[in-house]
Amino acid sequence: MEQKDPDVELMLAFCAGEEAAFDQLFRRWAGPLLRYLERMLGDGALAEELVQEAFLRVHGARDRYEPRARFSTWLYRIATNLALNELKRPRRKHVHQEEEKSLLRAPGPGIDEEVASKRMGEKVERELNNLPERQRIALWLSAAEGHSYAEVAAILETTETSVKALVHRGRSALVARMGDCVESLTSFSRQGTA
Amino acid sequence: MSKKTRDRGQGPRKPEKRDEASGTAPALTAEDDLALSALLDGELDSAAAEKLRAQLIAQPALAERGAELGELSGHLQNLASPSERSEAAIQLEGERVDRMQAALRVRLAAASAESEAESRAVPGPPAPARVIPLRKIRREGWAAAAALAAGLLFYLAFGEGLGGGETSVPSSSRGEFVAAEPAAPHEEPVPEPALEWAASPPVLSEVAEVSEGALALGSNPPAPVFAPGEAESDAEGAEIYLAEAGQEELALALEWEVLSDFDVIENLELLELLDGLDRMERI
Repeated sequence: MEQKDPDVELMLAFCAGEEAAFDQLFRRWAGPLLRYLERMLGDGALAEELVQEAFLRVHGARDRYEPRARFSTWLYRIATNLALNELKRPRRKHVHQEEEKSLLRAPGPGIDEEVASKRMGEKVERELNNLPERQRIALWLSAAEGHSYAEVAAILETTETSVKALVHRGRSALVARMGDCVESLTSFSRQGTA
Repeated sequence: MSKKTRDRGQGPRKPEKRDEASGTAPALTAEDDLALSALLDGELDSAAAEKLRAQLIAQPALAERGAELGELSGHLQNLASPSERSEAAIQLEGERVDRMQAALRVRLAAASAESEAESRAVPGPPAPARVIPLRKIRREGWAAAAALAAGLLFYLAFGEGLGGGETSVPSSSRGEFVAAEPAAPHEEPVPEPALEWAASPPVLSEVAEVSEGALALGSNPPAPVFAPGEAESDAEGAEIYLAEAGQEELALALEWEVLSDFDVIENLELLELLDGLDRMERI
């Protein structure tokens, strides 16, 4: 266990009775966790609900917390379990944050490369949501959020080898589905740099 | 989150030109893909990473594949990182985090209040449910039934005499044999024959006769007044009936009389007993 993890320090302070430490942890992790859960669930409101639920569980664990892993690994594990449970339920109507999407869509005037990049980003986002759950989680946590394979393995409660395979399969599938879009962007970039 | 050293969205550099010697790109294996993926995620140790980079320079197909995967990783990172978003998106997320934090505080306060209320109202051990043993109910039921049966037999035996002579049952509702009252036709006082049967219980066929004699025991009820001829004929008819009736018919007749007499029973305790017995049976 890495004792220098500042989040673990904060959690230990919270366990010792420092309520402000819990607020700090929330401010640090609510955003990334919200984006992660939104990506997993495709539903902003539900993601917000689960972020609160995850932190409620963190709060409730103050008496029995033991720093066995990084705080983020533990938190993401809680959130991932919540998300997987939610995904097992009968499909709820997923409401995407249209306003946020529109912000992503809004291109800067006259900047073709940026437009192409944004379109590509949208495509990636869409195709990512079509991947199998565990591939999607593994790929997102590893490639997008920068968790190590060991951390992802702890979050998904599996082995590193399995995570490596999940990430590879997810990435390959995504590239295959992107197909022409990647190619066009690549050629666009080549032209732009020539 | 561990910080992994990798280039954001660039991936391996592409070679300047393709493998011109062969003309076609060498086929990529799953191992190559796995290695590229691990390189992009910063999961290769330095020696393995160096080796793979050397291969990327030598194999254009591998480099191209690496570029594709790298592009994808770049987009994923852009989706995840707020630094790549517009100010408006960051602001929006900040507002959502504030809203969630406020809601979380409310939920925590509610949970805390709830747990305090629970700790204040410590419930005592639940009162043990009153259990009535079935055997006891059965025993009581049997006792009640026995008491009822005894009461009925007693009532049957002594009839209206128990009512202090106040109760008079219309002869029409008592059956023909009831009207066969040997003592009643005459206005003379009737001798007391009751003690004669006390030593030896009468058989059913004798019950009617005995009961009629017993009527005179408790008190002196006003004897029904019959016309002399009518009374005699009734008595004769009853004797014939009783003589001809089998045990079963007699029992039915007796029961009918008892049931008909319920209309005028004034002994409420007996009725309550019957009611209680019914309830027991239902249970």
